[in-house]
Amino acid sequence: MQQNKPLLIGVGQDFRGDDAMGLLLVRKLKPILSSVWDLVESNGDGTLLMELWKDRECVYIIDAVSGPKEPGELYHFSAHESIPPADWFRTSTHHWGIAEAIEMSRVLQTLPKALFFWGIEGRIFTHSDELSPEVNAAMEELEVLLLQHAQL
Amino acid sequence: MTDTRTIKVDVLARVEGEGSLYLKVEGDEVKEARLKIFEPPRFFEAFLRGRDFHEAPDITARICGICPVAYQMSACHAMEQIFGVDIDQTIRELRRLLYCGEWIESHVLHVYMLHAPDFMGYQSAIEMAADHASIVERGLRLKKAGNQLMTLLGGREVHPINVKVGGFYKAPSKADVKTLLEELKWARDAAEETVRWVAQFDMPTFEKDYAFVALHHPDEYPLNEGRLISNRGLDIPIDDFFEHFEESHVAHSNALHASHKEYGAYFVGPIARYALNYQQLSAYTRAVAADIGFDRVCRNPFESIVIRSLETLYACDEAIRIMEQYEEPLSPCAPLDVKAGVGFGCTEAPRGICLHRYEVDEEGAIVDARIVPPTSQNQKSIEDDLMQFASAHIELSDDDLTWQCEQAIRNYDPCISCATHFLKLDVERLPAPKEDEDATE
Repeated sequence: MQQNKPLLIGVGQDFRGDDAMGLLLVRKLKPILSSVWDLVESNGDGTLLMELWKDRECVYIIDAVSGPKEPGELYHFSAHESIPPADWFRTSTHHWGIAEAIEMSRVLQTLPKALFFWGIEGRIFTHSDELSPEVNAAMEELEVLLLQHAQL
Repeated sequence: MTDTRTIKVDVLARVEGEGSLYLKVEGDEVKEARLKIFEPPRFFEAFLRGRDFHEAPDITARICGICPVAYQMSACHAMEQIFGVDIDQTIRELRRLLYCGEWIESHVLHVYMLHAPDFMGYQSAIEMAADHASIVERGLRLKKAGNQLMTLLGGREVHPINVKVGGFYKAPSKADVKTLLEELKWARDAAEETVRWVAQFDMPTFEKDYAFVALHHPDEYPLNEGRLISNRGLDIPIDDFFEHFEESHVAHSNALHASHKEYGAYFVGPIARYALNYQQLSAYTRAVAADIGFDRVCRNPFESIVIRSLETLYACDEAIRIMEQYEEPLSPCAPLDVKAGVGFGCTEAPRGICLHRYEVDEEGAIVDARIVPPTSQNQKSIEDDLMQFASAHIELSDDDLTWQCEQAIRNYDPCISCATHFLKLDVERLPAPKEDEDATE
């Protein structure tokens, strides 16, 4: 992969309901965006995420969130400017997930110059291979936003 | 009137899965210590019923994101025992190489990211990195070496997809194996530095005469094969496991508690393996161990960080041995003669023995499955440790006692998600004791 292309990381688990959102959207966008962005899937392991974005200038992460909003509502923050709430991502192995990886990269000075996080509040995180209607609808909204960022 | 102190940690940090700690102290006496596992059961053994035998390695790998190889290997060995499969030596070595990758990945994550901050006086590895960036960077690169082995053999770092009953879908080329050799040599040096680093930590004074249980193989440090032995005289084939061990429900945990039928609580994992298999370590590992004064049986669970680091060194050394001798097999998988039967597989997950038992019918469909993961076997030992440790340190403030008790749990690198895979949970028969209400207020 060319290191100077923006990287889109879709985080999630296929069999955990709404948590598959990040993976599904990356699969959907790959045929459209792969000429201008690199796109990869991730299970959210923090140390692997750090490897993925090391030496990158611009990174987008998309993931389902279990936070204070209503199912289907969008989250967005610029991780290079602010600290993400760790309790949004409490499903990672050994609690070493996105938030910890961002903070560790910040400390080790390996954080990309621009790291944007987009999330969707999920409703279903139990065993399931289907998205909730709320997340399904929000995923289309997020798709449009990402295409705007890619200027397509 | 006796003062009552209640120590509660509602969500344990730096362990895998959802658990909590509850400690009840009356005066100077610890009345109760509980590792409460509230992560819901996941019914994997039920999922397996009716599925084809060849699905067992991939389904059970999903029990854990940090030790999927343990589940895959135990499932494969059990099925191969049923079908009477003879595994080629090269495939056997490749399985050891894959397992080395998992040990490196899992042990390094625990040593650097989860456990070392306890000894260095930090709340997290992120805080530690601010003052010790080069150490944390070494840990991250070392873990990556394990990930690379997993990818080479398993197709990806987590939940490998290249493992099947009888061997692999595809064996790596000699050239691909060679590309990782230099990184593994760096990793071996880094692992030795890790051993020497953690050996300097101040360890809390604590010892117990544990009943250690581990696999034992006369010619190699145990990963995939061996008999089950203990320091209490046990020496049995893995098929006899349920004649000597039993699992039971306890009210405060969604994971089964395993115990030995005679001596109750027992200890599995790095310290037990090391105590029972020291002579099977590589000469290099034994030399480093002797140099730091660990050519002995370790009975202080806080020193598990040193043993885990020594096992990481061994895994790197063993991986290099296998990679240097590697020749591509004629076939990546042995032929299978499917038939009905019962089979056992027991392998050494990073946290200890992981036992599988399957019954399949003549078509190869799974009729019954039982899985005993390491954390459920260590739960009773963890609680016994908490009782003894807290009793001996009762003078500590609540904050300090809580901190050190959490550390005592992390000594075991518990994987709570693994422990809650099980089949049956009869809630009606298990009324919550009053103390539960206190603990969840």
